[in-house]
Amino acid sequence: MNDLADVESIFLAALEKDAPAVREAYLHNACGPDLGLRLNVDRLLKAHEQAGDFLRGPLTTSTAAVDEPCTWEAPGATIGPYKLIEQIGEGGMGVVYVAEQARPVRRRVALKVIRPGMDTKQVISRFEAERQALAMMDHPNIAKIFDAGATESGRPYFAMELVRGVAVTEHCNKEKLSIRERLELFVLVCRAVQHAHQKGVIHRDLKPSNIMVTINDGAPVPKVIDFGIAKATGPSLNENTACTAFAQLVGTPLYMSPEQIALSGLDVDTRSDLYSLGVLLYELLTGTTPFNPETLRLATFDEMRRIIREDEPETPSTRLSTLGASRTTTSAGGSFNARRLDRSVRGELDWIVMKALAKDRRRRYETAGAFAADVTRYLTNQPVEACPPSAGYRLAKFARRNRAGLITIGSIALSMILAIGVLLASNRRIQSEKTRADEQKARAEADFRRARDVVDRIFTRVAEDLKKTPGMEQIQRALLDDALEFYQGFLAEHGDDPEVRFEAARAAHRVGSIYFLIGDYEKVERPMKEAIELLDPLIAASPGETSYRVESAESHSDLGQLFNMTHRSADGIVERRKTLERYEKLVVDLPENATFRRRLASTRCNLGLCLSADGETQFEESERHLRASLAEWKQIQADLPGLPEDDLELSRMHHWLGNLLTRTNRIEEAEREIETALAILQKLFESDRKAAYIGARFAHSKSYLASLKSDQHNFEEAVRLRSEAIAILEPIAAAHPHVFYYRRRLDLGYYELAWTLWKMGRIPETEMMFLKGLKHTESLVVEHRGTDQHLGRLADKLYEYGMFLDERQRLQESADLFRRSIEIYEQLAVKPFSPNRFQNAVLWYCTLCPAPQFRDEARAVRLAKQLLRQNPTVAEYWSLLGMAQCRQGDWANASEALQKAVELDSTDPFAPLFLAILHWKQGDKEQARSEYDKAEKISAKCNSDDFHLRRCRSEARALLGLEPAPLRKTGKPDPDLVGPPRIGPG
Amino acid sequence: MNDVTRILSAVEQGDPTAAEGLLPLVYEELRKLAAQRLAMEKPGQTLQATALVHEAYLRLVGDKDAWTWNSRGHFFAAAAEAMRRILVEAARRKNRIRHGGGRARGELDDGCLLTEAPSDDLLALDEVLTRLAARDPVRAEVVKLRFFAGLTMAETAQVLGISLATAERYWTFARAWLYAEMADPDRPPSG
Repeated sequence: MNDLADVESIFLAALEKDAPAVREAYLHNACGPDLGLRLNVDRLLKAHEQAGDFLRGPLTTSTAAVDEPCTWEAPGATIGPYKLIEQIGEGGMGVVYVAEQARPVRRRVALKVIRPGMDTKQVISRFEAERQALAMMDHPNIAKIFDAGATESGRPYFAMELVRGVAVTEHCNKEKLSIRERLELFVLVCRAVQHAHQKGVIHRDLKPSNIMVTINDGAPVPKVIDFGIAKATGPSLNENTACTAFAQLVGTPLYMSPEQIALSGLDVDTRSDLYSLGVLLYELLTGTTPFNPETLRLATFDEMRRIIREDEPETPSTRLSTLGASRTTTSAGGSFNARRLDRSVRGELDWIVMKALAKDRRRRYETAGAFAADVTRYLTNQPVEACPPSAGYRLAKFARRNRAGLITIGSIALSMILAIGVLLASNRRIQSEKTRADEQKARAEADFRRARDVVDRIFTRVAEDLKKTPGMEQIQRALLDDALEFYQGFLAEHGDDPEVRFEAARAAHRVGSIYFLIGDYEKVERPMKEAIELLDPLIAASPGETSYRVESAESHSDLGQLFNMTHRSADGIVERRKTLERYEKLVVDLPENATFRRRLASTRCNLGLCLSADGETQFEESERHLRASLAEWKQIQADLPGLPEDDLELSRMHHWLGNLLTRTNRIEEAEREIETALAILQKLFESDRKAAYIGARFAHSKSYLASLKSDQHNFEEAVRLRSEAIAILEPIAAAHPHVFYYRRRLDLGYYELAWTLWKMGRIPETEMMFLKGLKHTESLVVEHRGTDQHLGRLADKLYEYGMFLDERQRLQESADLFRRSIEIYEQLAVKPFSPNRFQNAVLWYCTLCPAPQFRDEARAVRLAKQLLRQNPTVAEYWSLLGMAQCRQGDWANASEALQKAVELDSTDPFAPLFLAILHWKQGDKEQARSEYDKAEKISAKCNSDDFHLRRCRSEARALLGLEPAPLRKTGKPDPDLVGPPRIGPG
Repeated sequence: MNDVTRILSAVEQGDPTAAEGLLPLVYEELRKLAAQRLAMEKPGQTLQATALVHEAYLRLVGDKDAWTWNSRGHFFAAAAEAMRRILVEAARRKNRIRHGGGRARGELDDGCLLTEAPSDDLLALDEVLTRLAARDPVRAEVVKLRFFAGLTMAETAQVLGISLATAERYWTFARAWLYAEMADPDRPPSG
């Protein structure tokens, strides 16, 4: 046995050694001849690799990763309808081949096979979701994408127009293009991107290697390739964790926009592509990217993100002058003279590039077309739209550079004052220069906007940074309040400017959200309502401005959530209704926007669920909304088919509706909904039988329906469904034997089926299923030896099977099973790390085991008292204590314990049942009968499979003279069931 | 001043035994909150246990007084333990012997989709975590504070009075150790 600290330090040191050989050498040295130590460290290293998100999120299950060897197809191989001719490239994402397609048309294509490690099905379905949009793109500067599919080894591939050319940067350098020629080429690229954006396609991965230049009739033609691929292969929203995203980022963070790198879940939109185009232009002008690739490569992930999100790169002209002598060796050197380049880049070209590279996407060009137009303006000597940085802009840069310093309260306050000063000054200038030339006024207004940005940004930073700093909430709130007040004051002076109003509304919304986040619920309402009040007239004035309306809808939505949290359900419902109304209108006006449609459907679902939680009177309306939401999800799914996420959402909606229907006792309809959910899951499952999680869900829904059927005594159907669930789960569990969840579901399935068969009286089959289940559970115990939970489960199941045999009067066999089960419980209960569960099991059998030789009430009382010392609020322990004391004839204490159990858990049928027994034995028949009736009422709502409950009820019935006492094999009534209380083991 | 803040002040005044009284109070509050949330939560979302812990903190302790990290630490240690017990009890309730092998009817109601996390996994985790705690309480505490109370690494380090680097080392090690204990069928005798 090695010391944990030793194992730990070797393990951690080994982790730092990436290269296998280095690690091996280290381990060899560090562990020396101690094989046990080495084994332990190896085990930890393996676990570390496989652990994935284990313990990183609350209540997540763990699945071990499956390693797939990385092999590439050789030329000559065929993939789908394509025959590989030669490999023409290999990048971070995969390998590109020239391939020949024989059918339906004979042509050569470029085939890109993606590296392993992606969810192929998801990649393809996302591609399919965008296929229509991609098909609508028809532009000479965009390479067409023909098809996507999966190779035999299950990797996604894309077939696209074959472009024989070189990367745009390489072309410029090789041909020694002048600035003008470079800009002209760049304008073509912008227009191609604009075309794609107009068709609703965002590239997401624009970089020189995705912009090829071919020579057509002596003229260079740029071609943008890989449209649609980044989206299909990128991380999806719900797996947008730093880990998965990091894998995606390897290779090209240089061209990624700050919002893309932030992984904040913020939607990446067309303006992200504009940033990438800005980086490209920077590179075309200077031969370098804004950030040093080497710096980014060596930086940690967080540092890299920080650089891209915060560091302001040098302007292109500054870069050119700092590059100095070395420039002649860089791309831009050559046909033009360096000084001339400096001169022509300084000023307007600087501004153009820096505008495209703005961290805040609202400050970039609106569209790729506008970007192209500004470059064209430069080429035709017209004034450009981009402006030089102003004082406010520089202040923002100062704030970014001094981020760490800004955390201190003083400098935050100082920056706020500075920013507000600039803001007010420019505001005064706007006022005083009203009469002056338009140009100056415009200038002042631009300054004002920038200064406002600064306040906005510092204000955001205050909110975000302080949230992470413990103990700073007070200051944070004070600053937020000040900021809000500032916006309001400003608004009073400048209320006619819709942009200011909007900013103020956004600020107010944010203030509310932050109060919400930090749990200061009382303060959320005021700013939220403020935001809504600011937005209302704006929307009235510009009904076409979508951003106002979305902001308003989301404010109502957040307010609704606040009310739900603070139990003002009626107010919450009002806000949900308002949210709904707003999204309804948005969807009417912009029916193409899928995000709005999804928000509408989920808002409606929320409203429905809020109503159903509010009480039975609202069930009717709740149902209406749930049904409408369902219809909307259906339509979304019909219009934008192929997204499994939407399908799953739809199956969930059916499930919720089924749930509501169950609660309103419309079981048949409930069943229909569950069946529909099942049909959807079935389709998903059939389209990919290997998708184990869908299969498991599918099986789960089948079991759910089975339980509904079983509740209505439709056991035949329940048996069919349970058997099907088992048939689905068996291959999944076999394919993923190491995934606990699937094995456990299967294990559960066997016993559920056994119980249903038992209820039907199909005794031989019940026994067979018990044996099958026990065999599986035993195999789990063997495969995962050392993990006591399976052993504990085996004990439970042996006990159950014992109960089954005991009912069949096969008393010897059942006693044997009880003994085996009890041995395991006892063994587990004394382990120092034993969870209470096993002590709990001991407590149950000591009190209620049908085989008298195993009962020990005195021990049960001791154990229950001991457990109650640790967990005084667990009703079950009080209940068991009372039962055991009742068995001992200790009426006074038993009564007290049972009363306590009833207080803590009114749904426990055992306590009133034993109170009935207790009263009867003390001669109070009336009270006994009343407690018995209570117990029966509760029992009706309990699981009828509960064998202990069944036993105790029949015991009570016999005692109260409601039915004859049950017989044991001896032919005499069981003395323990009707006789005087026994003391001590049998 | 409520009971919790009273206990925290006693801790701040140098009475570490006072902290023992925290657990039942925090446990009660968390159970109450969990029950309320379960009734309100949106579908398809699991209950965020760690969010509850922070909400309980705000409700019970508030932030009107600037507590030292020592007393906050006691609160979060109690909260982590309480949350762990609640989750383990819920998982155990699902499995408990008196409900036999069948499905409790309650599971068919609202709770069913909300607590989909496999209860056995949680019980298994609890088991190995207890085992780790028996051998090394501090490393186990790092996991508890992170996983059950949702503290950040920096907060965890502060609560335990260790450096951030040490906390990170413990976390990396404990995560791998627990995972190995839970998942590796071919493991040699523990540790």
